[in-house]
Amino acid sequence: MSWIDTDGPNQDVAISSRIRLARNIEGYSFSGMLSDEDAKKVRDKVRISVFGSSNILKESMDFLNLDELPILQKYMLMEKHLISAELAGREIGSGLILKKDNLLSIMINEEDHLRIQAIFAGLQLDEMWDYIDKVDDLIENEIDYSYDDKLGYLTTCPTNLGTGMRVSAMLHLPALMKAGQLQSIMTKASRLGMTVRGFYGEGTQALGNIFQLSNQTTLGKSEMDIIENFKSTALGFIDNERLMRETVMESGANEIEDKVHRALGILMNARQIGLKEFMDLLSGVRLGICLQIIEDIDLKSIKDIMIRGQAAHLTMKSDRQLNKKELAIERAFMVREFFKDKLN
Amino acid sequence: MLCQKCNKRVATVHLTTIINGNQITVHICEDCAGDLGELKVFKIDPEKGITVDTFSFVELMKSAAETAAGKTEKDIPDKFCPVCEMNIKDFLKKGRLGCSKCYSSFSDELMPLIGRIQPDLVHTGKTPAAKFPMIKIKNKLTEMETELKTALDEEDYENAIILRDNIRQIKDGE
Repeated sequence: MSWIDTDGPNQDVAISSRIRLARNIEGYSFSGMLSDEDAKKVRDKVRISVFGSSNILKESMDFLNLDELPILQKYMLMEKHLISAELAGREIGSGLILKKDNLLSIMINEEDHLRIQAIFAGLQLDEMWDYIDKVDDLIENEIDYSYDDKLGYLTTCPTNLGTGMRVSAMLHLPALMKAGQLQSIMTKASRLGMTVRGFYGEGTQALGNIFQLSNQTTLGKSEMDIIENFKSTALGFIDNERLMRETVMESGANEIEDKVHRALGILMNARQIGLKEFMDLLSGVRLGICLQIIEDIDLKSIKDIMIRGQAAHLTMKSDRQLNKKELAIERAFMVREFFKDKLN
Repeated sequence: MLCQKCNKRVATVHLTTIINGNQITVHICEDCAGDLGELKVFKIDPEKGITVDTFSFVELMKSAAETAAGKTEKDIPDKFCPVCEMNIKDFLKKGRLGCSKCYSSFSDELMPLIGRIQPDLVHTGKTPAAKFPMIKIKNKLTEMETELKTALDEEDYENAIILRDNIRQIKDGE
């Protein structure tokens, strides 16, 4: 399971949404300052808090000692957006507690001791908050969190102080991008206390017209306020994108249909596809599905193939190291198989 | 445009930060971005895959602000957290603290900074469930002590005595 193979509300624009809580254990330095020995102690404490006898969480979770996980598998977890590049790069004391359905994950010793995160398909903030709030309580029963009356949950970086909460959503905005609205989106978001980033977070360009919207501030507002504020911003962008898609269809349906079918044509026939082109083509196909130009493919499959077309996933599948050109060939092959299967 | 730091290479890194309502944009080349700090950032490049770069947003902010203020890094004195021994200069470079006690050790330097990046300096959200009873009692006590002071000011001694006894009871029960 996971956000990849489930459907969610508003998924014509919102591919997925995420809530993350940053927490630290009192009595230990923050993750960046821990000795190797203490880092392992912290990891143990977190593991025991979940898998210890009194906790009902343990039935549905798996523990991974990431120190020992091969780098390729770490990259695959990154491509699924279950861990960050920073955690993958940590050599000692890194860990991951992963719910079996992949809807919840707890990173151990990334920037903070614990980063509890829920990631669901579409926009499902209230459901995620309910869930992650309870998980946080269950863990807190077993661990003494660093917390201050005035400053709230104490975090490694002051940008996470207070609630320790980051809410984000992956939005697919091809129509707004085409209409040259990117700059105004970013400015609007910034004025509302949000940031807009590319597909993998703090990069520059957005791959495949996919943008990550997230809240900027964490202290001084309650969790519910942050969620409500974020929700209304996200829904605003979603509405704008839908309107722009309608406008574009009204003024030039033929052009869009052509673009969508060309994208499909290349995906079904090309012999090599680089990552950037792959994401752009998928963006076209995804738009085509939402506008009912393409009818035999569902949005879930597009998420699935998007992840399977990433570098580490392809490498894992072919079971050997692939250079850039070989990746492009493997990707094209996988994609041809996928569409042949779906459209027959 | 040319890099604002070396004035030689083309600026490809454009960093905009908003401090206290003022927008500062820094334009530098990748080399200078790499020179500035020790923070490792893992970047995912569509063609190259995953690479590790050295980059520091906080350092850039500081540089830009200092350039504007005419100060240099040497003006900031060393200051160490007694618990984890982190130097505040390291925090200003990397943007990360060493331990929870750093917040009190560096309180003077941190509070203005937090005030600039967060809308408020008081947490109004969730409280850890286990600590909650203590905080509830603490708030109740503060409330009652205020009421006691008011009662004394207004010479309402009957009420004051009741409040005083209740406060004493709670404190003894702790």
